[in-house]
Amino acid sequence: MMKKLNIAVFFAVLAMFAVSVTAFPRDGRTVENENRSFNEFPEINGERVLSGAFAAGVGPWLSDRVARRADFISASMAIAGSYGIDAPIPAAAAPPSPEAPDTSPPSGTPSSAQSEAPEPTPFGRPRPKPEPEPEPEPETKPSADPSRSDEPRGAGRVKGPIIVFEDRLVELFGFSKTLAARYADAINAYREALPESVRVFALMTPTQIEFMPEVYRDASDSEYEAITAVYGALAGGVTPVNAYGEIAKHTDEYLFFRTDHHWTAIGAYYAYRAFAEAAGFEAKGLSEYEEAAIPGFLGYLYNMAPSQSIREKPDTIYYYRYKGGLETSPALFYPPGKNGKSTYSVFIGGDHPRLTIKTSAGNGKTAVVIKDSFGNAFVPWLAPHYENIVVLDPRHFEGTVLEVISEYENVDLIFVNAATTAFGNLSAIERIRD
Amino acid sequence: MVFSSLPFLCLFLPAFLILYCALPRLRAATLLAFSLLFYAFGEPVWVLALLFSGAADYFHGLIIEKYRDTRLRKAMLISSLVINLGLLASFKYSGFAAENINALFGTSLPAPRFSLPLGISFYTFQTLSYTIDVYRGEVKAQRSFIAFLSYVTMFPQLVAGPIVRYADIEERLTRIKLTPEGFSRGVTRFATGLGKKVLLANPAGEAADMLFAGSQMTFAGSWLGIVFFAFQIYFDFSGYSDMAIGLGEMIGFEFKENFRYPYTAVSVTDFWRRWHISLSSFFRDYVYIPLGGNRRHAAANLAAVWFLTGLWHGASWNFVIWGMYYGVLISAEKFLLKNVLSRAPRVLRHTYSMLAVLIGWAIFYFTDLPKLGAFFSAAFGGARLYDFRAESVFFSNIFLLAALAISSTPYPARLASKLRGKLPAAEPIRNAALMLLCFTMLVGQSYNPFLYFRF
Repeated sequence: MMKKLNIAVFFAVLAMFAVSVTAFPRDGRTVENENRSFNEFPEINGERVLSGAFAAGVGPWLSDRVARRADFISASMAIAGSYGIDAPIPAAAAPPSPEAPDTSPPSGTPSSAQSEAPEPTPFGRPRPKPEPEPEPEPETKPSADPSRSDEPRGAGRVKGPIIVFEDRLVELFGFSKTLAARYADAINAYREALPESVRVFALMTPTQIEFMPEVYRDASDSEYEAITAVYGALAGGVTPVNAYGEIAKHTDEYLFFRTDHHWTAIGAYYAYRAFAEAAGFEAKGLSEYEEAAIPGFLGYLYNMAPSQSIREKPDTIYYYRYKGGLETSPALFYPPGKNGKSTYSVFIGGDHPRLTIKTSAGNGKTAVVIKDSFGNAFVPWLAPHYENIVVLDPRHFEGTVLEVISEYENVDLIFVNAATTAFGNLSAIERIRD
Repeated sequence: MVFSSLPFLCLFLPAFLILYCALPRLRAATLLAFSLLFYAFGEPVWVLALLFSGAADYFHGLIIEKYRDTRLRKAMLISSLVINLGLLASFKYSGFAAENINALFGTSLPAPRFSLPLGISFYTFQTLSYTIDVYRGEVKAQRSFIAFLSYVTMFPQLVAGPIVRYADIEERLTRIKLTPEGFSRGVTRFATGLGKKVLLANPAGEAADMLFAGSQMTFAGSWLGIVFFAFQIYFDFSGYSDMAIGLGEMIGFEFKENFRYPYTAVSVTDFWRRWHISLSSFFRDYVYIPLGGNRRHAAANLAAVWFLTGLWHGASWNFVIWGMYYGVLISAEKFLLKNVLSRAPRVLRHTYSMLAVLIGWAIFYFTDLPKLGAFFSAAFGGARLYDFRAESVFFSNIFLLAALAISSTPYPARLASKLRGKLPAAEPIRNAALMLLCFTMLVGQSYNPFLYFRF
């Protein structure tokens, strides 16, 4: 008797599965929550069947067909969450107060990295170590994120390559010495191939994990070490830009998004100040800019590890328009339309294979920026200083950089990459040289 | 297609079971048709290799039987060995062999890189065992091509075992009979296997990957990671075997057990009597004993078996090392430690066995030898004690860890069988609950935001 019941229940469950993917309309929340369109039934033809492309499309199509799919996804996250508890880590040893005197290492600077770093620098140029010199305060403090506190909230949990806190997500960094050397070599090869008149700069930026309390930084490799390794291997004619040092002095500001792996415009601003120093011009003060805000930004990391508490506290994207009467074509900022989503592509409209910006700076100078997406927030700051800005994304650009450079005179070539992304695009950087 | 997927659970399985039960006269044909569909879904081109191997052994079997007393018998056996092992070698080992020859002799042979057809390591062994058994006169050759093909391609065990011997299901093959007892047992077994895979193995695997993802390892992180991996591979593989055995039972076939609580083993030899039983018994019956077994050059025979066992798991040196590692341990237990082990307290024997097995899994996991070195240096004191990553993964999986440990002992099964007597409705409720939980997790896995602003 019970055997028959067991069989009957089994068939009933299978029938429910079959009905749940066939008899109901698709859950509209899929499109909204996952920021994509539905997976349709895969196109079927001989070639696609033989290549396996058809079969590979069946699973995604079917899972989008599940009735009340979004509820199942929430339930599955709740189940996964019940596998354990939060680590009983004190909600982080608080970073040193931002008011700390300038002579002490800036807040959040990895003390271990500092003490381990070889003292006489192997490259005899500004090292990417924050220098304890007093510095003038920027005339205007950039807007603070209203939802941001300096300390991450709640105990963190490692989830794949991310640490998940109640209020933010932080990407971990993995370092490879071999790739660092190859990255430096790739830039050196540009130096060699270019005429003396072209100045070459390398700007590698740290990311949020680098400025977390030590207990969390432990889970990651040191970006300081990576940047030092890269800068140390650069040829004599390449100028390293100490973005690390400049950024590390301002860790109490809104430098990195809490829901995305990118820096904010302010993070990029401090890298720009470091660049200005290396390139020998005076950086503009923030007071010369007008601030605009786009609230409601949920970034890439949020999509990797969505949670209710973060959804309730999205990031705000701030961007800064130069007030000194500067015209650019095309525009530098692309705020979303009325119902548009707030995305990082507000900066120069996202990634382009090649973007050529003409400005009214009228000084005959050209910046060629080879960058990953971190460069997007950086480029607008260059506008008052260069008449031409050519932004090349090696992942998509089909031409060669040497050709581009030969179109201009008085060129500064700048590599802008984050520690977390630089090594992933190496072969692309090598490919587009000449 | 895999069992733990929505297409299988929502479409394939219901459709198959309805037709299979509704058309009793066409069971072998239904099974064959669905098996080919199941296989072709994942391997649309190399389904031909499967059919080729099946057809070859079908004819070899017939010829061997017909010319039993002639020289042809031996020639056909050799021809079947060449065909099956040749198929396996060219798909699985040709690239590896070419690379090694090139490295050794400085030649530049092209290293072919085929994608490995699903289940080829399993079905070539299966058809081979059939031909050898016919050759030895242990089974009669199957005359019905449909029946033979439905044995070779039978979807429950096609892609990941257990390696089912023809002799074990011969009788059922032409007279398939379904019983409510068998079906009900199969249902419970299938639900158990699905739960092991989706609820235990998958999260254990995520935890292991998290711990091994960074470039630096700590003492606690390396051990915790390898423990999670040991649980992952056990629940993944034994869960798959459970689903295969369960599906087999539902449709009227009895497959032999493939796992018997290997993590309760009290020696390495004991572990291998409990782990992937259908593979070790294959090597025992078709390699070890024919070579002379315990009677002649036992040590050399053991070495051959363990070299092959390692290589069977993958075309890479770390698998060979892994196999030889077990060969050495088992030889040591057999020839040197017999008396020592049998006198040691049980808890000590168990600890030694698990330590040996965990080290084995490390060799198995790290296909990259420098990474393996980094693991050992962290695991044996050359690194920090623990870090935030290890701590976080430990606590956020603490209940999972307990569930994994408990589920790898016989106690939950014993409890279930006690309950079955007292509370008969518990079984269907448990099965339904398990399947719903697994369905939920499978839908959850499909969460796939379109990351257009990644870079």
